[in-house]
Amino acid sequence: MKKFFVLIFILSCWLPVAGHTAWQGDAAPQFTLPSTTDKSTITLQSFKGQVVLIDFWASWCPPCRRSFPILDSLHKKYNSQGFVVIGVNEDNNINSGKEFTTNNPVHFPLVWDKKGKVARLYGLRGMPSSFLLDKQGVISYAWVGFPGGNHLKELENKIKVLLEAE
Amino acid sequence: MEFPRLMTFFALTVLLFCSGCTMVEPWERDYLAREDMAFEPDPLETISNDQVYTSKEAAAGGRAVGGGGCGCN
Repeated sequence: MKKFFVLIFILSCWLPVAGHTAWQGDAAPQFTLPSTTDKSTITLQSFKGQVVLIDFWASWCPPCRRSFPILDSLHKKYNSQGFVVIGVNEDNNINSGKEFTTNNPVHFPLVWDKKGKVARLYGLRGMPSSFLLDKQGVISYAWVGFPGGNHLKELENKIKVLLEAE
Repeated sequence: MEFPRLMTFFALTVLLFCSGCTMVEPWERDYLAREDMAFEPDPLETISNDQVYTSKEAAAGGRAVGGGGCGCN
């Protein structure tokens, strides 16, 4: 019986941490999601051969909102060289995300992850979460939050290195 | 297994799966992020209340409780 209680205890401790988080070195989980700007769908696979930054954001998350103009400037600066940002919106209500992007327009593709299916697939630990993928679709750099400062310089350097790589 | 032990085993297994605790995932925190979900929506009012509490009770603190918020980084 003692063993049984120990087993129950171990199971109880294990249950909340059972999810897997996609991290550096992992192949990025594939997804196809509807665009928030038109009726098309966007597939991650279609960006293979490009350096992709997947940004999970929501209109209710202040650091996500702050990061938007910076991500947009990176997208505009390096898009012609094969870099693209994909904004994955995690709002429950699509209209909240649309309202934000109408008032703060960006040039990169935006998709809606209804009910957080892709967020669960990536095992997000916080908002915002971002993943920088190399040309083969492998996660090269992943981070939670939007720290700014030196982190931005480091991010831009990593984008340049990945763009130059085969 | 004896009957009482079997019953205990059954009850504990049911209890394990009937747990009311659930994790709110980071992408599900929009309702928690709402202003009206905060315990202390107005920081100035909180400071003012603290001042009154300290003066009246000759004591301070005790406010360190978890609240709402988006849990953003």
